[in-house]
Amino acid sequence: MKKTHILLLIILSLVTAWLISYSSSLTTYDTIQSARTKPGQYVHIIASIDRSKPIIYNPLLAPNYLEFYAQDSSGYNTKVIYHNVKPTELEQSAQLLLKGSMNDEYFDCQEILLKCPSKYKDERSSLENQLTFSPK
Amino acid sequence: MDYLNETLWVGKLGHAGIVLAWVSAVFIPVFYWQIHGQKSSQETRNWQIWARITFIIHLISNLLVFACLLHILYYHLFEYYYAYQHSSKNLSLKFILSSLWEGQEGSFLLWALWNTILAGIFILTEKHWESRVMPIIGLMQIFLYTMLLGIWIGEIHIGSNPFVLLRNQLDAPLFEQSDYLTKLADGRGLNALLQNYWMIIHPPILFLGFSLCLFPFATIIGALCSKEYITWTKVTLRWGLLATGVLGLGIMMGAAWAYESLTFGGYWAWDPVENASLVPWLLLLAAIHLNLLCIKNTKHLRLCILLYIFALLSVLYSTYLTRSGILGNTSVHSFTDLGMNNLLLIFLGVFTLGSLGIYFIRRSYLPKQHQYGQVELYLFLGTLVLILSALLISLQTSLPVINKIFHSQFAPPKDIEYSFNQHQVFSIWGICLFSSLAILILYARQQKINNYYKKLALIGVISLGLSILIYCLSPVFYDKYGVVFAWAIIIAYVLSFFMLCTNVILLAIIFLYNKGKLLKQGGMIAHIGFAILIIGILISSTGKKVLSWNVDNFSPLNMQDEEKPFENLTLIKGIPVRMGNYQVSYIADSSADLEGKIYYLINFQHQLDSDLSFTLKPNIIRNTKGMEGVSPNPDAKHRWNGDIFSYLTFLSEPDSLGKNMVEYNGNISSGKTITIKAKSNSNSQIKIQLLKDPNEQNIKLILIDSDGNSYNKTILLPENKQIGKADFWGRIRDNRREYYQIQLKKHTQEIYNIHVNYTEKQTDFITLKVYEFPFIMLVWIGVIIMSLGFFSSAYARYKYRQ
Repeated sequence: MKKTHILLLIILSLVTAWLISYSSSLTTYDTIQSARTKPGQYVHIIASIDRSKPIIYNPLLAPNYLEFYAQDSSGYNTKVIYHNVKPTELEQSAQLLLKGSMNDEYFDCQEILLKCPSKYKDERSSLENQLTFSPK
Repeated sequence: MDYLNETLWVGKLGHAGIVLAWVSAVFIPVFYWQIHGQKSSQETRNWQIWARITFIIHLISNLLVFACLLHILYYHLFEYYYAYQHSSKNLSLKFILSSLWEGQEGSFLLWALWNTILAGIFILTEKHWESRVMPIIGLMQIFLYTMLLGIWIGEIHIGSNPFVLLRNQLDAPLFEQSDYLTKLADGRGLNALLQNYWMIIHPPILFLGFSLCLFPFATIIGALCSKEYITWTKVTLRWGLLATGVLGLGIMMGAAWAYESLTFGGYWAWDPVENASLVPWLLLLAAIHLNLLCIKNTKHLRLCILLYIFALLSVLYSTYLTRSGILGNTSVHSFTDLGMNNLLLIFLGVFTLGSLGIYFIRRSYLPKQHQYGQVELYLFLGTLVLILSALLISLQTSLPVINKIFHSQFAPPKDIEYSFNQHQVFSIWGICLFSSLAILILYARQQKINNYYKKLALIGVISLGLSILIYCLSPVFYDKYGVVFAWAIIIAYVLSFFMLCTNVILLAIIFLYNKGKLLKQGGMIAHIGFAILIIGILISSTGKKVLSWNVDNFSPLNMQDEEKPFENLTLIKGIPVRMGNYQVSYIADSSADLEGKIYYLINFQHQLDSDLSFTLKPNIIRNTKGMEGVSPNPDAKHRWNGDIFSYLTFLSEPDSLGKNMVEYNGNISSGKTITIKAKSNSNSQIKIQLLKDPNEQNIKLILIDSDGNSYNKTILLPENKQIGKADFWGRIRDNRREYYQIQLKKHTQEIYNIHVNYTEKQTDFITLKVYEFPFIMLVWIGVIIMSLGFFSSAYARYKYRQ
């Protein structure tokens, strides 16, 4: 066996070791329902804010406590608690990517990514709407 | 319909420039290729003249397109979609430039322009290689300009033309009026987060780095095509060094922007876009080190060629990643899909297949020398570490691509930063260790030191001893992720000091005993900079402290269950809160709209030493592009031993930004009353009365609401206020907790100009995060030294090229 072969083997085994370690740290995209079947496990949920329920956030009393309800496309609904500040555009967001884990009562959220309507594909139609209504 | 007031010539000229640039780019490879294989020197000369003329036409059309795009932005020609979409009237010239490269078309244009300018410099400095390299540059330009063509071939739309008109791009009833332009008040503006001075300089430097990656690549491909297997090494080294220096600088300018203007609380977050520029840099770094070796020893020639090829391919791949919209959920940089996806893939495919194809055809002709020493071994091992590091980063970043190809649903790990750090800390070990060993032995070889092991061992032991000593003086123990990672960090820390000490000692020896020239020691300078950078990264990120720990569980919302404290703290105006050694209080906000920003004054009073007290002014900036809300901008107090860094995380909607509902503008004098409509109910009225104190020291404002309740506010008048200047502004609140912002200007001695706005709420509190980053200055100092090292090295290799 040549030296290069040994070297390649070492590299290959390093990459494999990395792959195993990394793939075990990967998480999943879930629905609210499937997240309920694995409580405590870290998941990603794509949902939207349930506007019929109140958003509880009082920065004067507790700046690190946000509570709201989210629902996903299949209609399931969950309470979400996020121990951080309320993202400014939460109410206007079209879609939320929630990261965290489900427990018996609520979704314990660690991170929220907002998708705002104007940022993404609807850009063009939102622009057209703006041009229709805004000019005075 | 004939539209009024449109300036159409600029767009026509600009698009003509794009077409001309595209056509000339097609002829560049054709003409340059003709130079080869001509029998008479006269023929060769003729083709060369043709080729150069084509290139000059290409250069001029590039500049023309750039100038036209700048023109529509500078003169706010909102009939063009690009100007409407990316700029607004209030932008100063510097931000007009940023808006030029905010869009995809503008940044492709910038890239193409750099390619052309660099090609001009290449032609002037590397005459021997001109005819071999230019065809590949031409090919690159064809692709870049195809992205900007914006023409229809049948049903297929090719490229996106930056000069497209708003009324052609959008379909709105507004365009049924011929004077629609007068009704377009303003463009949608530059993204609030990009309104930062780093955004003026960071994109051009980064794209300059990307452009520079093309030249070693093109030199190698050109050389392989014309069967030159070894002569190119010096040329690629010069350009490779320059590329590494510029790209590294560009990346870290992006990091500085992230630190100053983004709120993920740091300068690096392993975001896909950051990784996409880091991977080419790591590959270039590996390539230049092997390239150094290849000048004398051809053992690793093949790997060196592959590395330069992959450095450019990774630039193209990262262009695909960041611009195709494929990153979607995983990146803060949200480029949208402009329909260039297929073009980008073809672009990537042609360059990959073409370059690797040529490499494999010529592979067996490449010389291979087997002579091998220790320097070569360590250099090679260091290179392997860099390659492995780049490989892992790009695999991890490509997760969305893997999901797309295999239709899988993998989501990123819980702690994204740690998922990178836990492996990359070992790259630091490898790089610091192997580079120090290689440079020690290389020095011994250059000085022809006999019995050098003893002396080297001495230097090695001294610097290792020093590093351990430094470690003991400033221990880093970071056990957030367990004891293994903590020790991995400690070893990385010691090894990076080892790298620093070794290089500093050697540099000192060279100066004191060998009277070496600083210019020639670029390598060592770059190594010193790199070591300082790594030390800075390790200290500032492991020692990052949250000062705004919210430990008071005075919330009624059942927060006591949670053990851990939270990072956001609410400050009520005027009430100090203790953070670390500081009494922190929120004093005031600037309230005035300064370039769309509101500043918040936060005073940090040091408890022991009042000299250490300071004020931070984090600000918020109103979002543009039709997005609601505001974006916070951090502020930091920079000290040699660390930064105190703060940004607002929540605040009640500010009121004096943007559109104010001006309710009253007129004059008032003492004793007089004005009547205005109440804010919430237009049927009821409120009155505002002004009373001047007889001895003229203060003014009393009295607000009487519809129910007859009165509220008053006393204003102390400063002496000798200039007439016409805003003397006072303040807010008065009525019984519905509605605020009226009142501004008074002294008009004459007796009469005041009064200006009343409705305001939403009084921002008498803010919520913020405060971090401390110890020794973060080292990161920036390290980058500067490292770049200087690269540039002096590149310059020295050019100056002493014979």
